[in-house]
Amino acid sequence: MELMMEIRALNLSFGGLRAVSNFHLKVEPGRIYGIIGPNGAGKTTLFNLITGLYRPDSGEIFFQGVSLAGKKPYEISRLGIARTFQNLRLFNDLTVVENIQVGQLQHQSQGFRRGLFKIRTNNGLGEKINTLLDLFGLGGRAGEKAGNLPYGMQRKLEIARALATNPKLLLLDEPAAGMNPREVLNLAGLIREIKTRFGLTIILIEHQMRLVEELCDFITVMNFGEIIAEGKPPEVQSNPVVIKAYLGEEEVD
Amino acid sequence: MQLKFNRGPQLVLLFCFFLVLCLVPFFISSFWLRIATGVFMWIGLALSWNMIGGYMGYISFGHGAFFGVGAYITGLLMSHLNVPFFPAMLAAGLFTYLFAALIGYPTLRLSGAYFAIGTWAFAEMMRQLVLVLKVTGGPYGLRLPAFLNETFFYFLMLGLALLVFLFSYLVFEKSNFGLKVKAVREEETAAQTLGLDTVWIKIQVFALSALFPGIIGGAYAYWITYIHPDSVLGPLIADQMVIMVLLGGIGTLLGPTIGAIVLYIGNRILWVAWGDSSVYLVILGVAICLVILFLPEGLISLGRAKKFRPGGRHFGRAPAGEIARNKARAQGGS
Amino acid sequence: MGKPARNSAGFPKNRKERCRKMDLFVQTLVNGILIGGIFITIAVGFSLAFGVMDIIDFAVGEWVMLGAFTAFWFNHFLHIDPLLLLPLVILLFGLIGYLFQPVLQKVINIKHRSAALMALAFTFGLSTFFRGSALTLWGFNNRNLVTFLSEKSVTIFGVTLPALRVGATLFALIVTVLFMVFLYKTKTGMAIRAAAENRAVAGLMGIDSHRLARLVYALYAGLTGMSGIFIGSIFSVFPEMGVRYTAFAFFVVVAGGLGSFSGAIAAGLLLGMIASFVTVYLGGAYVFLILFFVLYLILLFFPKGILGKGW
Repeated sequence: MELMMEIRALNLSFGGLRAVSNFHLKVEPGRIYGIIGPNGAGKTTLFNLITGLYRPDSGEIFFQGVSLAGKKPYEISRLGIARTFQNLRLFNDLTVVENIQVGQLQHQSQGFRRGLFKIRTNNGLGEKINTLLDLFGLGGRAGEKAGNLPYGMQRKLEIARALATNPKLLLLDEPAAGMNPREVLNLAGLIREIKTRFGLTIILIEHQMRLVEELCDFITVMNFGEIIAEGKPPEVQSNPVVIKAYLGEEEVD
Repeated sequence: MQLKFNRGPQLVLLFCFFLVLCLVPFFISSFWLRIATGVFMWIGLALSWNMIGGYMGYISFGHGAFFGVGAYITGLLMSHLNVPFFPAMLAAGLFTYLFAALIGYPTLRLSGAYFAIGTWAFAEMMRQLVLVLKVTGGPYGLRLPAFLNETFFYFLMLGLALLVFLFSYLVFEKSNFGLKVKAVREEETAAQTLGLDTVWIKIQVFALSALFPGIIGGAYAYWITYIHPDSVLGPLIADQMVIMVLLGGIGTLLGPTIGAIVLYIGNRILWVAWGDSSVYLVILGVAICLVILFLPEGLISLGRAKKFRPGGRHFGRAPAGEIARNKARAQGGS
Repeated sequence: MGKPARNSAGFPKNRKERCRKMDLFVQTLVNGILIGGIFITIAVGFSLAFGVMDIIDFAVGEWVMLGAFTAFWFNHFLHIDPLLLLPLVILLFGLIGYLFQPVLQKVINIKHRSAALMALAFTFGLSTFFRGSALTLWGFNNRNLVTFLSEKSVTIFGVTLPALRVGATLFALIVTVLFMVFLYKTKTGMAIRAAAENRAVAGLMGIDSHRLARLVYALYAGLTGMSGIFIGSIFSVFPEMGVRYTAFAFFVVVAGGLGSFSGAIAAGLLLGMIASFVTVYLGGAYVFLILFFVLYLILLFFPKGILGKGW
């Protein structure tokens, strides 16, 4: 089977600190991958590397056989990788609908003159927006400013906005952060649904073990930028190294 | 601010308003005609600054430079090469547009205060450059062929102001491009990862917001017939652009328009009362500070609060989402 | 820039041309260092205020101007030597800064989609207000601030050192060292450094950032007002003098890297050099052109300052 993504020997350090060290991952299409690890383990840095916000010191990332080296974030997005952010990065002063619309804009004419004067319309693209609004329960607040939404809804809006780009690979950075157990359960269902509905492959960074166990086909555990364990959820859970590094951290929390 | 051009009665009203504007010069004294011309000029300038400062959220303290460069290009073309006015003015606009794109490429990598300082330094550099250059006349300034028809300049500035207004409306309020620009303002990183070429968008907006000041600068030079580095490249030009936008309401269409009208007329009233005096600076300074402290959304928020939002907006109080987010952060700890 | 002091010394006419050129070079170099010293005092406070409060004060030059005028009027009416007024001006401006800071803090805390612009524009409005008021009250005239050191100078190896500039530089040096000791050796100072580096972390460490911000702003206003006395007495005092020192402060802070101490010192000296050399070798008209050009280049190519490090 052709790989959705392959990461080989990826390295990045800030000053003397190795943020990501010798990271590797093979992503098969249609699956959900989990990346877990304590704070500062380099998980978000990894997402920033994949989406082109950071440049790796060495190593390679291939997306559907295409190297991402030297590609700008917007180019990578147009290849079909979308992400959400751990610390929400919504367009707070824009409405919910506008937030989602921005996600669709990359598919429209890039020509300067046409792009500049093209009046905004909802035809055609509106359908997808309505689907997303309904799916994430945002329909009733479509005209509200994103910054005024309650926190849980803002998290969902981020996912909806990412989906508007029609991605093949979706990177979710702690989608359940700040949610209560019931909301987490609800979110798990939602993630499964969007996966089948839009034919997605998903990589998930998560703190909440529950969500990862529930969803992921394969888990990579990071600590201090390095992979300390990887495998299927039951294997990883019983791994003593993981219990020490990860659960130890949980106790501190 | 949403203007609905598609409604019948409003369209009629708008047409009447335009008609009045066209008839005005034939009924008022040349003194007031000059003031009206100045008002339109500043509406154009304030709306131009609003493109980058308001819609894109990049604070440029150097936009006076494009006005001044436009004025000098027009002046040089007309006085040295005998180019007729309109081609000279348009050439000035084209030049400032390209010049801004060139300058914008490195400068727009800066953000926040650095960008403000960078553009400010750039503008001061341009003024010093014009002061030392021979071709511009240096500190002696530059004289243009005189054309003393106040009505012509009234219609010219009116036309330019309308042009910038319509352009802002179509491009920044109504088009997809405008939405992209706002996305860059709100969250540049997110905009990038959503597939927007933010560098290109930023350069485009910077260049567009320099195009119109370049043209207007050219018109001003021809109107005033004598230009000097301190008059067209002085910091006061950029300052007033910024302040008009803030005063009226940043990132809106009517805000900068209102701000320009109020500030320019206020300026002229002071000028009549005290002559060309430093009292204007005092009042300007106080006005800026008071507006920021007590009316951060500008004059336009006064009308808006009454009409559309009973009870007004609660500034200083965090919106619900913010509170919830902070709570979540405190609980989640991550 | 004021005229370099080389004119007052006069050059021995029987020397060879090469010698004369060398003399001029050394004289220019020394002048550069001496001017640079004063800029450092402004830069240090400015850069710290930025670090702690995250604000770029467009009114920095106006504080210099007001400091100079305060000294001028005290001198005018009470005939106190401006240099003796140094402590008074520090205290006075420190107090003003301390009382004024909460207003600024309110602006910084405004919830607005262009919050950064609000703070910038506010200090900008402040500078316009100060400049306008000074112009309205005192007119466009240049005034001289004469101190007991003004007419004196020392000549060493053919290089003339105007006593006032030497005194100013020494004083700036002492203040900077004292300030550094305060920042690095006292508890409050370390808290300030922590806050300048990372406000959020400082908050977690239980540092009362509001109290610190007030203190820092008071220090900044005091130091800046005080340097106005030196600048006013070396050059001259006039309401529009502020703009150039705002430019200088920006230059030093941007070139030195916002919030960098050693960077501020290096940049202060660099600025003094540029000002001095350009004035002598190209002419006063080019000083600002070159200064802004260099500033612009530094911003573009060394956005973290020429030394590229923080506190």
